[in-house]
Amino acid sequence: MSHDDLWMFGVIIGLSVVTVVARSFFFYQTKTGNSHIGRNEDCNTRRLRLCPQSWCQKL
Amino acid sequence: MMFLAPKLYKHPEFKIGMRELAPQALGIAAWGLMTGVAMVKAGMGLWASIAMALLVFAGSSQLAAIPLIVAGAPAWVILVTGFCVNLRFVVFSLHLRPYLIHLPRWERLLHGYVTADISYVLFTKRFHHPGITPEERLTQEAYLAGNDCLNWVSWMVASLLGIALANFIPPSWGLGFAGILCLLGIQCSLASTRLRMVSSAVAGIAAVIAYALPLRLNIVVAIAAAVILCLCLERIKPRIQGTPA
Repeated sequence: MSHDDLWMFGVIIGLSVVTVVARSFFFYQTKTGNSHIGRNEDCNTRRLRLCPQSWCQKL
Repeated sequence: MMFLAPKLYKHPEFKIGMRELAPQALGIAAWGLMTGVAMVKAGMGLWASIAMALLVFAGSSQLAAIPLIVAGAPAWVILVTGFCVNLRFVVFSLHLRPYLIHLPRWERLLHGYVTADISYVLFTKRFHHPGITPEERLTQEAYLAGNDCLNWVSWMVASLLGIALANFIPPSWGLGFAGILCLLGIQCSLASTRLRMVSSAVAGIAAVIAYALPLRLNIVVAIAAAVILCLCLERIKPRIQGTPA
């Protein structure tokens, strides 16, 4: 595989990463779990146990 | 792939999602076909074209990147162009966030990756509010998965077909325009209130005025202009919102 081919495939992979980042930009979850604000029922789920309880108590 | 999860494809909403996208599938396929043809005709090579079709899955981004790749532009310019063309999806992801945030991270990323323009429009048209109960959330996820599934299949099959038949399909057929017509049809069906009509018109005018901007930034300008103006209109005259056209 030539240098040009490697460059092209690198760019293609980069474009796919850029697409995923743009399309999922606001889907990432912060460590504080504040993405669950407004979802009180989620406070009992396993994922939200990692979050400060204050988030749930405020709701 | 999430399409293979039984809880989704066995759900009745999965079929509804596919059925509602079906009328647009032909336009998506025509668009995909011409993107496949464009990649090969531009001189990208067979394997690079196949890799791009399978990995990138973003028509407008691909079409913007092809001439830059062929011209040997710096990688960062190609990636920045790709990101700028995809900036509208950042806005889409902000809107879809409350619908999908309850899912595990990898599922959210996968949904983000396969949710393109038409799927986003049809989904938000059908579901105005995020689900609250687990059943509501599953219903919404199944609909989106069905929608995305048909979108992905029609795009991929047509793209790969376009790559295979590149030398037999002249670009002068202009089949790519069918995809634009699809989006236009959906947009017209969504313009059901005066505010939506105004935002649509403002976005269109701004996109044309800013067409000369580099990196397809006219798309971002159009979105920003429509959002800002409509937010101002909402504050000035809240009655406009929801008024039937």
